[in-house]
Amino acid sequence: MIPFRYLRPSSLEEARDILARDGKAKLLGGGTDLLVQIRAEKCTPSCLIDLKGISGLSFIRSLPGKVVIGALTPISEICSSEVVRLRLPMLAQACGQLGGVQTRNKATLGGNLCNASPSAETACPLLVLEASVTISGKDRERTLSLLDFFIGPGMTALGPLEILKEITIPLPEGRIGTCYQKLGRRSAMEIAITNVAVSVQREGDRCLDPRIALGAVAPVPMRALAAESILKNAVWDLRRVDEAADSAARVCKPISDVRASDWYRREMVKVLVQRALRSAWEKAKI
Amino acid sequence: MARIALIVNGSREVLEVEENKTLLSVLRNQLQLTGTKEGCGSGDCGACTVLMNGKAVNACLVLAMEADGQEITTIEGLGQTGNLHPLQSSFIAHGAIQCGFCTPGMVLAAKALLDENPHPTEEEIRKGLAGNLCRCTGYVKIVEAIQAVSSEI
Repeated sequence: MIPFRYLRPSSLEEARDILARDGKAKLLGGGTDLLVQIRAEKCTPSCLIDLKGISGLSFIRSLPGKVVIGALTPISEICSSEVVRLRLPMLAQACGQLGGVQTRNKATLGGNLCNASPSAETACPLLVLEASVTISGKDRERTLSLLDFFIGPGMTALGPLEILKEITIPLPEGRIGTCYQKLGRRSAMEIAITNVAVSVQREGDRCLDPRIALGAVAPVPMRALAAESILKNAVWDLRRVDEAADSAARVCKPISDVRASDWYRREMVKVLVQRALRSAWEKAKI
Repeated sequence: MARIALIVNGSREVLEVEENKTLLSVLRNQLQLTGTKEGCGSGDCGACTVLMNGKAVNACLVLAMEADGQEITTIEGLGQTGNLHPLQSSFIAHGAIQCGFCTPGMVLAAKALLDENPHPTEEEIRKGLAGNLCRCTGYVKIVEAIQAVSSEI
């Protein structure tokens, strides 16, 4: 592996100081993406700043109306958290599909988001849950909706001296059903060919507040807004579900890569959105 | 270079390490604990699985510096010749070992699984071992070996 320095600051300010002095320093969370990139020489940092030495960045906090998760919280802790499994089951489900056990014990939520892969496991569920991120900067903290956080493949809205601190997830209210669907060539240790997250709110036979997020089929994880408006406040029927799935397939912008071709991904968006919507609706019954 | 202090298989080790070295490299090359294998170097195969503070991790993706102050268990810490861990005996008894390269990682992943869930279903065993690849056995006997140990818990 290329040589680099390793530093373990004990505060965000210390971490920022290192970033300010060294433009080629990179922040280290769990390292399950970063070390792979360094080994492949896709990333050549001069120095790794291990954030795990900063206390107060790894937590899952249940507050009125929301759950707040620290950026350095390991994915495995999110999977096994009682409050996440109970109140945000789709997030627990998606986290459980990230890599394998070994990866989940080390990977962090913040790392998954800052790596900003269009197929990031936690992205679609968090977009549907309308999560926001709190970013620590030199003189201030700012909050951004997750939708605005992803700006391109592997690119986030973080400035050079900014560090992702925590993720705030409003708790869904009402009769909500959610579903996460991931398509891969195998059932674990896989980057999604296409992944989809859906949330519907059920009131009688009407669907309120449908939310559909698509992953791995655009430069960033995205919401399929046109598809959502087909379902919004309408009586639920399978024809409309098909229309929405069709619309989602049309707006995405997949590429062909080693895992799948663009036309296949587009086909699969339609299939996964249909499946996810039907499943979410059923779950909202309960 | 930097100094790290960690507990490996119950013993305190103080080491001088280069800052870009992985835990895998340090275990194998500085501590001569060659039971942990390098299969891919990218966290995809699980041959380098060790337990860090009781949790299964891929040692190839842990920097030695990150292991400072942590407790590491390698396959050597689980059982020794003449004093095998039940998982090791079961793997042997069930024919779950062919070339043996994946075995240390498999055994540690199995230990981590059973520590958390002493009576897993077959699906849970397979999910718990999803991060460990075996090119020889087809996994069936590995699963059976783990089920046998689980039934004794």
